[in-house]
Amino acid sequence: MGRIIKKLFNKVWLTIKLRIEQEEIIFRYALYCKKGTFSKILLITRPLIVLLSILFILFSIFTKQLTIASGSNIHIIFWISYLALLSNYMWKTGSSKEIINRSKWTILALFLLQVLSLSNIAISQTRIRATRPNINISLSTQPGRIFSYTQKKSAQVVANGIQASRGIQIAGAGNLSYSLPQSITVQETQEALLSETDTGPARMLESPLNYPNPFSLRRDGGTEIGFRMSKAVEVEVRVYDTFANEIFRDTMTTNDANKYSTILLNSTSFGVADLSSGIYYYVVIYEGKVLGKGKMAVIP
Amino acid sequence: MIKKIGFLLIVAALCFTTNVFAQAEYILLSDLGTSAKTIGIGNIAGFDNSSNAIFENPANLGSIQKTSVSMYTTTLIDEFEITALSISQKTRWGTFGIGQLRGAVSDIPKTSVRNDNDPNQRRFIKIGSFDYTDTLSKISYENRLLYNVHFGLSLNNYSKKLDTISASATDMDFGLKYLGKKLELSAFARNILGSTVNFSNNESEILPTQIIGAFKLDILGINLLGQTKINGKKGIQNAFGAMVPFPFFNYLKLMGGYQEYFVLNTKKSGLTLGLSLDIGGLHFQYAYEKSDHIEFDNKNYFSLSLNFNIASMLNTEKNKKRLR
Repeated sequence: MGRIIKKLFNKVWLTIKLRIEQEEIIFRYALYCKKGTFSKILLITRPLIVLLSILFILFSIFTKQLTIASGSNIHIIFWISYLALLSNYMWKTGSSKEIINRSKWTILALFLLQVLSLSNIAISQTRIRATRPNINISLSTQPGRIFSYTQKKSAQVVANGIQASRGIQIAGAGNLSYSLPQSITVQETQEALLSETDTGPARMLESPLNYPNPFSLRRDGGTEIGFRMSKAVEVEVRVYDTFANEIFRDTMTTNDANKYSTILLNSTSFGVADLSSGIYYYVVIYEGKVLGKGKMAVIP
Repeated sequence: MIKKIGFLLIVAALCFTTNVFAQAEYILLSDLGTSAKTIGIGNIAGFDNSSNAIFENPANLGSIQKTSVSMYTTTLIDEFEITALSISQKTRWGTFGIGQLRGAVSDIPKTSVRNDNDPNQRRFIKIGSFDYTDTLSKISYENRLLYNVHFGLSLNNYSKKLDTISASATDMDFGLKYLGKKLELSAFARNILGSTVNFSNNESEILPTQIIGAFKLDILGINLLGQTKINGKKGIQNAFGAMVPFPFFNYLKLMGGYQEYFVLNTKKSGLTLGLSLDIGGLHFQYAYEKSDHIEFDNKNYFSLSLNFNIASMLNTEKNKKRLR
């Protein structure tokens, strides 16, 4: 058994090594050969295209920051595959007619796969933003479905007065899609809540904002971060600098749903007389989960 | 030759004037790292063999054969996009390079307060948004001083735009590089003039002057690196790194490093990891670093560079003979 595994490993290893060497030869050929501009660019970038598609898939799986299921990401993989396929045939033949002739069935198969994958990927509709937070919205969708916001938060749709409707696309990660009755007018950019009732664990009713923004630590005396929670709870506020290094962390007890909660950030908070100009980021954490976040700009 | 050395010694001495220890307040994008390779080996600058050298030690442009084009990109906290593009060309008068490093964040909320006098109704509202950009543009020149010693100069232009406020400043870098067979030494100074960045709101910040010395030692194919950096008034930062070629697969190299850095006035340290893939003149590098952020706890960096001889590419008759 061990010998079989070793044999298999050696075979795979040799294949990869030979493939890389072949790519190097193709690359060197591409640099100096006399071909059309498009062919030349495709051949030169060929190792990069192949490498990018492999790394993209690995990156998606291991970092969890991208999901294969997300609509735009699947399409990127398909487009990279088309380019890799074209460059493969370009290396073997010189005529573009012959290239299209040879690759047409493979391209057709890839295209069909791409079309089929669309049925599993949501088409984003109008991105709706409500006039103010905690607005009562009547949604035309199916109850009990999970939505994902652009900030990758999710909320369970509560079945209170919600009716099913045909033709509504439920979004995958990254896009929120639903339709609103005509009585709601879109004005400001505040995120809307999906639930009409406010029961259950503490939630953020108004996303955090800081005032003033932009601000100077020295001249304005600092800034205040404000938000509204559904209940009086203890939350943690963290601030990060431009390079994602933590520069402040503190806990505070919020007010209940009837009153706005604020925390002051000044020289004492950061332990310096002045902050360098740039963008800083803050998050509000409750029970280990990020409930809200924002960015603030510091000027000298 | 003696005059050349004398001139360079005077420039080096200027680096040790009081400007070296001036107030360091302006954030330099280059402090994060200017290429995935640099970050992967512990943010040790001065050994990137591509046009990216203009963002580090300009004297390292001497290691480029003819033409080099480089790109670098990363996104921090899903918001701050950093990209760099550079190109360099070796000529009979020396090597010239040009490039830009740019960081940008968009959609930053501009806020106001409602019902400020009523504590029960007081809240903050968004009344608009603005963008932030931080740009570093460079022009570099490198030439040979002695057989293995190169020198380089860079002219830097810093600019920043934040809402209606803009800022700009100009400064210079100077560097020396020793290219030995097994040992390489790099020494350079950033912002030797200690310029002031003037903002349009009549405020200013001072560009920090940094002095960086590093070495790279080749032991049985493994590269060991070390660096000491005097970072303005903040203090001394050290870094160590290594590049190890993959067994039986010399195209791939594993990189690792340990670096010290300042967060406000506190010195912290961290580890970096990276991969470098070299196929002919095409170099692809990836680096990874842990982040403090609770949600985005990974920092990923990507670099791509192409070193080639453009004159040979254009000479098709010569290429035909070569291919035969």
